[in-house]
Amino acid sequence: MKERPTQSRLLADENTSHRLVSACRRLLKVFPIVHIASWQDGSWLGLDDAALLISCAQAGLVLVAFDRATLPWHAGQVLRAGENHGGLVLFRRTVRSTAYGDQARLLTDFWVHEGHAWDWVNRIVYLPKSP
Amino acid sequence: MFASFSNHETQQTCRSAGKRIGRHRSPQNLDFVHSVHKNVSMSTAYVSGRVPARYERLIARQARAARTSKSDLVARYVIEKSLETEFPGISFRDSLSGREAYLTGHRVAVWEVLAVNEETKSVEKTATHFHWSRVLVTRALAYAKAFPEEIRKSREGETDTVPVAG
Repeated sequence: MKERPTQSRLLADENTSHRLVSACRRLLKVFPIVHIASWQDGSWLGLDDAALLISCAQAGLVLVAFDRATLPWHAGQVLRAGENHGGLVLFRRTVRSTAYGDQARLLTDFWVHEGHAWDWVNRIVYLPKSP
Repeated sequence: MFASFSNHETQQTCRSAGKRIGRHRSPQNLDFVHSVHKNVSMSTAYVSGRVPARYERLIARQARAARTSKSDLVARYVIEKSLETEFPGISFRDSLSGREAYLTGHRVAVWEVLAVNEETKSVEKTATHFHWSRVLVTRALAYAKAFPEEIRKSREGETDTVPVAG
């Protein structure tokens, strides 16, 4: 593993930027997030959604991604197939892809105040959360 | 073994095209048959080719697994392989809106690259966003430019749906 400064709990999918990871670390130095391109030498980049979700469950990682309908759909398929996924945090479509600071604030606030204590298996959360 | 493929909507056209081929030379004597019959009203064409029998069996098995017809599956293979050759670095995968183009070896769809590029308005900045070389971004944008309607549909299919949970 190239990058594992702390025990990683969150895996940033490739449709998020490395800049999200950097922005999270600027807010919280030991924030437990790693980008998928840095995890396991990038070998998970070739995984399709279902394989990635199952791999995350086995590694105890929550996947952080921008919401695209196919990902939660695949999460449902994984469940129907009798497997588990490790949990999903999805940025709603109102969050701009390049608003790294906003993404980092949403994610770190949520994780510090709620997410870190949850059992994430088969759980999906959208950020920002519904009022 | 003679394998033929087409969009199912053009089967009538295919049959007539096959008769035309047969008048000139029996398909059984050909190593390869390539026939394109333009159908203006449906904008589809007929293509056929001979394959070793083992591949016909493989395709038949894959078509059953995918719950589709052999001809539709072969048509998809022809379209996608020819596009992958024309646009190196682009592959296709299943999505809720159907097959979608994505960057080979990556998890990012072409429509996602386009969406980021619309925000950054710069190939350089989009490449920096993904931590990629420029060439990956330009490949995605070239495909998006060639097939704007397909990319628009993929994007809408992924973003115009109600989230499954709040």
